[in-house]
Amino acid sequence: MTEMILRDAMSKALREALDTDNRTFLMGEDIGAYGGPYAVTRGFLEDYGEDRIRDTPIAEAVFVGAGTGAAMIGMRPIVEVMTINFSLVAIDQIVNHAAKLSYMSDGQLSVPLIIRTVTGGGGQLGATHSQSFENWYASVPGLRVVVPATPQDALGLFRTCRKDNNPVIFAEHSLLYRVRGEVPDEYYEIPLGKARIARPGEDVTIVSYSGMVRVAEEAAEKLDELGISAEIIDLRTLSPLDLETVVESVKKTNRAVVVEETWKTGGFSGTIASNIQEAAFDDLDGPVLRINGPDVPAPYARNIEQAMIPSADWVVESVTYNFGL
Amino acid sequence: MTTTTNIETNQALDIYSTMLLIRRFEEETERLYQRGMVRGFLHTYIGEEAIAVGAIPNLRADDYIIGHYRDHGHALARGIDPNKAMAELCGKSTGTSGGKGGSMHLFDVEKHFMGGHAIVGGQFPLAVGMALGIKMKNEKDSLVMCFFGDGAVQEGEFHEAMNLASLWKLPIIFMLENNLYGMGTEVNRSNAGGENIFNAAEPYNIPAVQIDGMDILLVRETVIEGIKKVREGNGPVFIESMAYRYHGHSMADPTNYRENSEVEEQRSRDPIDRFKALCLDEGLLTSEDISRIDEEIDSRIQTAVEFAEQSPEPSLESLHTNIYAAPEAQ
Amino acid sequence: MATELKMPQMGYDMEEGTVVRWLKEEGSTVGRNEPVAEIETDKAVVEFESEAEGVLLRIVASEGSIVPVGETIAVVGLEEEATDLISSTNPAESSDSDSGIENESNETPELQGTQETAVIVPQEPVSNTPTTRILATPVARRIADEMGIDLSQVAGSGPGGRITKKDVETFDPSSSTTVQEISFEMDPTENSEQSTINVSQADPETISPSAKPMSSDKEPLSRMRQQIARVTVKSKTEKPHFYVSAEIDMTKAMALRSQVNDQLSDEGVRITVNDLIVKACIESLKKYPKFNAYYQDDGIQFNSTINIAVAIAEEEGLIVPAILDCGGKTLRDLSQMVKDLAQRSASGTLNTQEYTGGTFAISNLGMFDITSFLAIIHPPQSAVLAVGTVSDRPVVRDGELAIGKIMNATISADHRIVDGVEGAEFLIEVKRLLENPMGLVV
Repeated sequence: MTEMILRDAMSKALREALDTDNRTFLMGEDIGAYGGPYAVTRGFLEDYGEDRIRDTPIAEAVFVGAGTGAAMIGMRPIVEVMTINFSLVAIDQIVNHAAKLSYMSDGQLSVPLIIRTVTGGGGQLGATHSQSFENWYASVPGLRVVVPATPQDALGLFRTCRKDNNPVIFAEHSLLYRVRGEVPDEYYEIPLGKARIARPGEDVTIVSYSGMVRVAEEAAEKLDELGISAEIIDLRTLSPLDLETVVESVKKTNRAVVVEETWKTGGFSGTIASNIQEAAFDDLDGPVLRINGPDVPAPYARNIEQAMIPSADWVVESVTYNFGL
Repeated sequence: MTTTTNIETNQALDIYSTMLLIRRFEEETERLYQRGMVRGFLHTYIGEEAIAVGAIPNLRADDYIIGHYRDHGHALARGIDPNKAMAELCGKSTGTSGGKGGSMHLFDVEKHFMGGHAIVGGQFPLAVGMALGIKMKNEKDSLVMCFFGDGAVQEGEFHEAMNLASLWKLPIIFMLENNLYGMGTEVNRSNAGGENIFNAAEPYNIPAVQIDGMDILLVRETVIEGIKKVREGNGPVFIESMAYRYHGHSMADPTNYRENSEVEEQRSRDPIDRFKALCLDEGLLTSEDISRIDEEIDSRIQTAVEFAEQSPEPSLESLHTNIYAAPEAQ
Repeated sequence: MATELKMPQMGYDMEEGTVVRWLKEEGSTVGRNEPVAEIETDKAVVEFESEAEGVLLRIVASEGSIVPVGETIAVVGLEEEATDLISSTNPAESSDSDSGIENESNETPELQGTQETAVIVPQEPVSNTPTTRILATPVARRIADEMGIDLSQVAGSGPGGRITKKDVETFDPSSSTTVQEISFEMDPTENSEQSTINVSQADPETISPSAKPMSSDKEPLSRMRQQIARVTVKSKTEKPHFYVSAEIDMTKAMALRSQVNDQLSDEGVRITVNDLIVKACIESLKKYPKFNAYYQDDGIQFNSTINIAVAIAEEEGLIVPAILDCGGKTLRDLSQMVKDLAQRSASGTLNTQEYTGGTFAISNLGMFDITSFLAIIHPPQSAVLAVGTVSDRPVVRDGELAIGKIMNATISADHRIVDGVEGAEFLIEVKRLLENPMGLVV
């Protein structure tokens, strides 16, 4: 095992891809000469050359689509969209093209394209730079949406994505790059669609992903002090979604709360909560709770921005009130 | 207009029959649409046959073709089986995409025919990507031929693609089919640069020409030259072919945005008629050749229609298939 | 679509029932399976539940009215719904109101059920909202169902008084005879068969008439009292009672009892005299099944199970619930069943079958030093055994004077189905079993 931060796990994952598969190349804004906006690709240009580390113009639609086109004829590009906010500029290429070519050609085409992008808020970057759209993409058939929360998961999931011949939205949370974790030295992969039980428990199931896993863990500590044992599930991927693990856990604990950073309306927590309710209704000791950010654009000022991001206290309050614990 | 030819009889036969195949195919699909066998959107290529037939047969098997939703002509010119194309338009399981793509999404990856795309301008980034892939593979001097209309150049992706293709010197032939109308909007009402769109290539340092797209032999010559240039690896070229579609944008179009006299005038320049006349004139083809080909094509189309009519609909299971590709083998 | 609530069939021979009391008012919301009224049959006063959820749009049968089975007594539906689809009016035999549909006059006297019953203790937190719907989580409902717990007895600690899983799992029935604030919970002490009327009060402790000053007040009849009145009148007018008495020498039975209890005390076994009597009756009933049957106009209806109704003294009065299906039970089992029955009747968790399913009754006034008495048969049963105290008396055994433990037993029987001789045979068999008690333990 080696301890490393998530950023380094991603660097490792990318280097491994470039080293072992000459069909792979990287494309994106400032990934080369600048060293990557989040420093993930620092040193890559020197090591791999400008043919395989391509700085693109500020033109998300064409370079995401180019990734698709290259993938269509057998390359395995990894495209970086600086933040998921900017993916909206390329959303037509992602949703209308990459996600649909396999289906519309009835399997003649496949699109082995990985779109790495940074998601989440909390850095006082303003309304247009603080959003999380992985839940939108998760509802599009044809896409994979991967949301690692730990270095080990980031590396293991990325390896699986490289073998998955489908377009992937690989969303790395902006505040998780410095998260530390143990990463096995020997080769391992983590399958898509398999959630992780981050913490076993008996009394309540907390479902979370990406940046909210930390919040769930903090909440679990606080609940523990109140004598409530929380089981934390880290979904790891939104598409495919591992409902089985979630439902099994809820049937055991009888209480469920889903924690998600993005706006409550339309949040993926709604899909998850609804599925839990359908599958485990007679095992529920209270409503399936959803902790999401409120339906507001992200402000700049720190105090109010913090007030729109779910915290451990929100989770604890909701759980204790609604379940009478 | 070319008055003399530098082709031979066998080429003339191919050209004539391919253009006629497209013409008859399109006419038939319109009838089928009225009968309710083809549904949704149907955009026919009638009047523009010279572009596809002038360009595509000059490509190699390892080259790629991608385009827009008015794609039947390009598909047939590339050699897609008319049976399968007809079946796809009729939504049958024997179609090129098992009935799941439809008229606007014809694919034959084996023949490197990469669609058929319904989002205006959506094909540009894909074309760029394929060309990029070719370049990175560095195996052959293959190229990408990207078809688009005068409407697509209004999309941002056009400019992004031109920029990147030029910047990275990608092997693309940008084939603009300018039929003067973006659906119902005449080109001068939507393009600040006017109807001579080839000028748009200049800021991107892409060599560009504008030709009469209803002159099959001119198209052919121009494209042959363009292919040669692109294969040298110095980046893309841009060919604007002026053409006209006699029918509306699609079957839904009432065509109240143009004058009948204009249509009639354009019909008088019909590419098939002109080519036929020229070949007869020069003795490349005889009237017996013409009759025979006419009959053969009619019969070929009939076969295709029967094939489509008799083919089954897609199974319910197929609703759920091929949404995702299978993973790589270990 | 409004739903008509109809007089239910609550006993095989029930033809009509009396609406004793409405638990809900017109206009109040009603949940599915929520009790809305008390209905009296020949056997018991039982809670009647609504089959539909909604608003109690109209009460068709007023309190006190007698309604044939299958006729409408109320309508439940959505607030907006008209109720002119009520199918029938009730042939009012009600003594205290005209039972026309349009004006139910609730003239019945104030029923004083709860205030007279000391057993009912509101347990805090009784936090349900006044709409009286029981709020419980799905898993709490499921567990309650599995464990046979009555949710209306459980206090909820969830938001809004919602009953949670923990509430159900930690529910201790013996510590609470709780009711929700509608407090119309079926009071077990009132839901009883009142046939075995005793000459004296049920609970010795309340026997102290000398403590009360003489008064000329009129004491209103409690529900239980009313019911007792109805049932006993019915029994006496319907069944031609005859009585057969015998004296039973309980010496050997008492000795056996001591022996059994000594040997098995550490297994928690404690046989009472009554247990022995129960067992003897069961065995005798097997031989003489007519005493376990019911009279009907078209025949004698035999019962496939023997359900011994045992008189249990409650504070308010006597109830006579049955231990069900005793036929194959050992003495030890029976002893336990009787104890369990007593316990559950104290906590009000007996079920309807136990209240109404008795096939033969035993009434024992032995603890009051009574030598003998004649009990009234409880419909639809056909017999009841009245047992007095066991007292030391001189007896002649093998020609010699000895002290015997003598107990009088008198059987009351319905002459429509059995005669004096059969009554004697039955009783002598009971006597024989008790005087040769080894047969009871084997």
